[in-house]
Amino acid sequence: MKEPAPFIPDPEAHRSILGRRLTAATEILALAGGALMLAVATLVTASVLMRWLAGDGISGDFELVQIATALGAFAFLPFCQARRGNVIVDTFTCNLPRRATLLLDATWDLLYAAIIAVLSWQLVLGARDAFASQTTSMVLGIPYGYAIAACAIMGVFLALIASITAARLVKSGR
Amino acid sequence: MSGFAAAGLGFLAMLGLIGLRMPVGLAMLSIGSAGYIYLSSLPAFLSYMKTTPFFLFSNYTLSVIPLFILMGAFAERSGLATDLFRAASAWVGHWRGGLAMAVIAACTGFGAICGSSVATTATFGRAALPELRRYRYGEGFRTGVIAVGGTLGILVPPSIILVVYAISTEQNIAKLFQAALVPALLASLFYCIVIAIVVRRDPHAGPAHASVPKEERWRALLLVWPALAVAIIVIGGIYGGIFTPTEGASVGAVSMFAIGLLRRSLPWREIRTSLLQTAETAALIFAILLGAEVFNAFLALSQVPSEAATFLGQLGLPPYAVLIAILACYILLGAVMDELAMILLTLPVFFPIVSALDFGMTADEVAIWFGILVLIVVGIGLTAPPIGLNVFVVSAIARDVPIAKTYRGVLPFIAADVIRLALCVLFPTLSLALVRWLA
Repeated sequence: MKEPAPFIPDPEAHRSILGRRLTAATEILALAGGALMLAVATLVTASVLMRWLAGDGISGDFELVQIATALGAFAFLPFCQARRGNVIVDTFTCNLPRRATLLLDATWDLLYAAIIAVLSWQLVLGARDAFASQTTSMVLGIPYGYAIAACAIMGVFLALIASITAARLVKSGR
Repeated sequence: MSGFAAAGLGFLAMLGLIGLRMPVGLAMLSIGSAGYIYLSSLPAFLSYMKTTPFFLFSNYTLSVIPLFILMGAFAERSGLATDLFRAASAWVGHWRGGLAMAVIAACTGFGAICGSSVATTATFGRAALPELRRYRYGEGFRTGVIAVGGTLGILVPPSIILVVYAISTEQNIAKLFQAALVPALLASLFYCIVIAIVVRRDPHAGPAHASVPKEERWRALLLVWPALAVAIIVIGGIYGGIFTPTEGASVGAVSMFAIGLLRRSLPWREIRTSLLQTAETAALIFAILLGAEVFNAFLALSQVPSEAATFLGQLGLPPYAVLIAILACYILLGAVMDELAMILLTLPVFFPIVSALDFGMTADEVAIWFGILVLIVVGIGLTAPPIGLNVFVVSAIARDVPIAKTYRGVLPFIAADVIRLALCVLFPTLSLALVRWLA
């Protein structure tokens, strides 16, 4: 089984220009997602402190946490895919020739790209519905449409990254 | 094709695809989608997909996962593991096998901050292995101790596995964290006993090192107390219901970040790595969660989980026999599968079955107790041959020790794990006493 390895910067990733731009883009998005989570954590901590000291926290902070988690998830996924960090089981295929495992991996990346593309398109429709019905969060009244649309855009980016990793596997074998 | 046949075929196809290197999350997602479309229709599936991915991830309970990962990443990147290990070895390193016990003690402390066993193993592999090697600890023994100590990352609350269990069975995270405490401390105690037995039988496995002067011991402890205080505040606050697990994780992440900055042990490079590490770990968990969500929607359409529970209920088998069969099944599956995927895939079927059995407890108590048993079994799966994730992680760091030796080093600890599992099965009080007391 391929373990979810602790993140180590990959010097190889900086070889090709496309590889460099790709890594940079997914990294920036992942860093933004991480910063968003840290920002939300700070807000929640402030809310907890205020509730403790003044008896009243920041109302609706949980809605920001929810939206940030969804945005964070979609911001993290392309980075994980660009590093091919997903959990796979290689116990039964370790004796196959390298070419065969590369083709398998590339095929699965393409399938992933296709499914995520469909899913992103459905998210676009979901965002449109949310705008049309003016669905908002309960306390703060944040329109969900923007958040769903942002997830859809990041989903398209994920599909793009997955198809590029597939091409990269076939072309340069990594 | 009936729903039952579709579910069976889908399950086999998914396992086959996973065997062919398909990422676990993708296998669940694609087979789940295909099954969903087959049992209902394409338009129904597409409209299910309109908002599911968004509302699955915008779940308040789920947000504890990235937040706890963030907390652990900051702790790891600011060198907390090294400090914890130094403090523990200053106190017990002069005993025979003392450095190994220090690893266990430090892992217990680190486990109270970090919720992932792979991260704990990797961290201590880097922080403690060189020291164990320097003091000539036996090859398989030193790597085995790290692999086993790593499981404390999930056994000691907070624990990602328990959060995932709580989400997929709709249980209370705080109660699961409470229930995990005594079994976790029992694990550390048992591991230390195993170390004592091993070094008594083979004194060369864990030679003692020189005693450390008292002032130095206190100085080492002083260095780690802020982090330990954060762990106690976070877990204590969640136990006492002062804040929700998400709030606790937020407070923990921000505090570990602040401690790292104040101690100047968290430069920009390490902050960046912490964030990227969080992104990758969270993403692979989220990918599996999305796959499991779709696959379980397919299973629910096939009605297999509820029918299986009813069927087994009508057979009138003794509850403990069913429970032991399920746990044995988990140990076997855990030996060849990813633990997270394993519990997400099996719980929709196993959980209704267990809930339908009569153990003389309330349904909530059975659910919590079963969660702890699953956690212990997952811990065993992480170290047991042939596929123990933690052993792989240690082996990747300690290239000088053959993996077979590590597996041999792990064996006595697995024996202790099985005894602990038996105790927790026989005495549900071990898990439930604290929950009842705090209720």
